[in-house]
Amino acid sequence: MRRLAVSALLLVCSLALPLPGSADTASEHVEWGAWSFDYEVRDNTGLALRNVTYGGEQVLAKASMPVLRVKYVKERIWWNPFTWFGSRADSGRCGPFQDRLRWQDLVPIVNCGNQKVCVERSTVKGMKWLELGIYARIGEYHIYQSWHLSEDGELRPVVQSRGLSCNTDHVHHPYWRFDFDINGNGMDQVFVRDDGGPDSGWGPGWKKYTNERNDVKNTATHRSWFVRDQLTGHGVWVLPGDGYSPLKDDGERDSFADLDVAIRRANPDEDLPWVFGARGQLGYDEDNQGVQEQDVVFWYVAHLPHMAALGPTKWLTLGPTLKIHR
Amino acid sequence: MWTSAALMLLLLATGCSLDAASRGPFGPEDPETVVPKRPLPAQLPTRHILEFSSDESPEHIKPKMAGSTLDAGIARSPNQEAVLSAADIAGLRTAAESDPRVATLLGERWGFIDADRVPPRGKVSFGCCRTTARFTRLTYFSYSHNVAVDVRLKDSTVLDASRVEGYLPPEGPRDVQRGIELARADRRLAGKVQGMEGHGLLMQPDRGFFRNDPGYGHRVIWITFSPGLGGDPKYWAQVDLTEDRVLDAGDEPPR
Repeated sequence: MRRLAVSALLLVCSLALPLPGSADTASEHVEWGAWSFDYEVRDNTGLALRNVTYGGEQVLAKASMPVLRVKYVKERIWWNPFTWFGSRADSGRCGPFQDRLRWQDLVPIVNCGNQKVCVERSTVKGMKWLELGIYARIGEYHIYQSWHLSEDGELRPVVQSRGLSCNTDHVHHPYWRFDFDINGNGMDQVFVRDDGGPDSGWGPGWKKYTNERNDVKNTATHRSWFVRDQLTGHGVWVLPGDGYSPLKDDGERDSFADLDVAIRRANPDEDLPWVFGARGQLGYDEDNQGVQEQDVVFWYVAHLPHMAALGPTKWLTLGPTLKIHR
Repeated sequence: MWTSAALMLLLLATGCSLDAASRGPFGPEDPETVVPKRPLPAQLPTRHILEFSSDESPEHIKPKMAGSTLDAGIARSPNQEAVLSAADIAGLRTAAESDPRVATLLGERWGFIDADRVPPRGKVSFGCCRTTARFTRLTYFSYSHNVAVDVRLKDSTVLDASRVEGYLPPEGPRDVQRGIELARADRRLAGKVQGMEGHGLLMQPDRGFFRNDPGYGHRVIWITFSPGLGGDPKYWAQVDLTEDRVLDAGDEPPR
């Protein structure tokens, strides 16, 4: 009986220990199904994926989330005319903030073996998924940033947030940066598609970006984007998120974060921690560089509204969908 | 007179906020390159349905993919070369902080922010094609000079140290710690925040029309005090780390 109890105790202890190869490190190489990549938490860009390949072919050099800009609503005080318009107190009562997720901000995730980087395989409705996530505490915020990869080539960048820095409505604007290298770098094209749009030779509704641009979503035309390698035609869809309950979509841009996507020519000097401050928009557009058959970077910006009335414990979730097309 | 009034109103309405709009228009579009126009997909792809369920307890419990069942493990291998250990960082800091160039740039009051390896320039980086990264970058913020300081090292030798004008690095442990210390000592919060957990988040005060927001252009941190992990602040303070003083503090109003 005693021997049985000792054995059971040893078994429980062994289950509580991390699995071999699951050490709590800030960078690892991962192979799963058709996917192969490295992940890393460094350089203030959250949990990033590097050297992403699918089916043996490169897709992304790097996918990261350099910043979550946070803007609290402006409060208008009836007796102070400077709060009525744009000047003074244009800020909310607190912020704005520029949240950048780093290793030092991460906490052990209680329901993922107390690891700082959660790597889990699961099955949802018959589809196999791999999840990589980090749980950051910044100020009062709880932020879970994750990547969800399906075995058939879907990649979901997701950010989930809760907590309040002050009891006022606010909006989180996560900026994802996708450095595409489809079938290697240098020959990528970027297209935008609108339902009912004209055919300029690429098919109905398709238009090619020729230069660096910012652009916005259009739900009426189901606007979506496609990045592909000119030589093979292999590509990746970038689809605006449908929102995860209770949100209905990836939110609405506003004057604080006034774009939804941006296309830039890749430049190593622009692969930096966020340099534009809490109040600055995405730059890197001064030279209007050509992006046709080039090494391109695609930025996606979502807008997560957080009503203070929801309280600090309600998770809100959003993010786009990337889908591999071969 | 009405013109002046209208002009004043317009100036008030537009204000002088630092909030920048995106630049635009960008400039002329190049003609399309002459490449074969391979057709693009005719239909939008279908997406999987993915939802999340979450526990609303204050603990660090991540949301779960709804309806998922956990499967067995996967192949993982650490990239030790890509990251710095705590011991690495301590050694690098000692080397940097004893360098006279760095000491001059930092001045009397400063805080360490963080350290990172610098990957090789270009696409060859950590991961499949990594080479042992020997270059590192340490980031500091000098409160004395109100500027970020970037220190580059090769192994434990300081190659270069420079001011990074205008850059607002993320809040470091010293920022948060000093902000909490000053806030706890402030008379407006005295006797209220003992036993509460302090948190800090870098903020960016605005430029004003007639005068700037308090702390404009300085390193300012928003400090909150809450009873636990829940992200539910009860007291707040705005602390100017450049001037080492509390700008304002008070009780957090109810939601």
